[in-house]
Amino acid sequence: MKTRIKEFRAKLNLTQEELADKVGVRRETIVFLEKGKYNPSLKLAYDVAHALKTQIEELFII
Amino acid sequence: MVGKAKWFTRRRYTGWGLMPKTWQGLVYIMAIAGVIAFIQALKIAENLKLIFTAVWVILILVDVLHVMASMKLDEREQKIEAIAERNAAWAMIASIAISILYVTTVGKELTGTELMPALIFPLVAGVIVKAASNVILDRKGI
Repeated sequence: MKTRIKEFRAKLNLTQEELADKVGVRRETIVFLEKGKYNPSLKLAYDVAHALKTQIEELFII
Repeated sequence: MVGKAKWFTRRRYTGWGLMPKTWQGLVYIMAIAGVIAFIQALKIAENLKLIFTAVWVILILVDVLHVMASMKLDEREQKIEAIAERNAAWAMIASIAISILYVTTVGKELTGTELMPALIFPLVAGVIVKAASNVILDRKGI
């Protein structure tokens, strides 16, 4: 699954660490999400989208 | 409880337990070893040394389990750990079956030292499979 997390994160000037803290996961998890190497649960996808002030559909591309 | 979760990381590639992450974790490990060495150096009866060491080990075990329980894993880490532990469990079960087959095939009473490989083999198999699972899942992604 492709994601636009890095793009939205850059718009909000957040580091991976800051986004991870906001969402309540490890920085490594954000790294894997950005690389498309981890398929998050619906809750995590929602939390990440909420932290990046966008919708899930904008962030994750199947 | 003495140990704190922020001093350690979970072992992923070298078996089960904790790895020190900060200087406090290192001091904690050294203190455990130091107390055991102190007990062994005491001029008391051997069975008393054994009792004191056993009590100390039990206390440390309780503390370590508390530290591990208080380490919060996020959902990705939980999934990877669950898969790796499941794989390790299967490897250990298979190894125990092989060990039992070996012991029954040998057809004679084995002494303690002769039995050691049959006991160590499942542990080693579990450690190797857990480490391999963690490496593969980290690279491949889930």
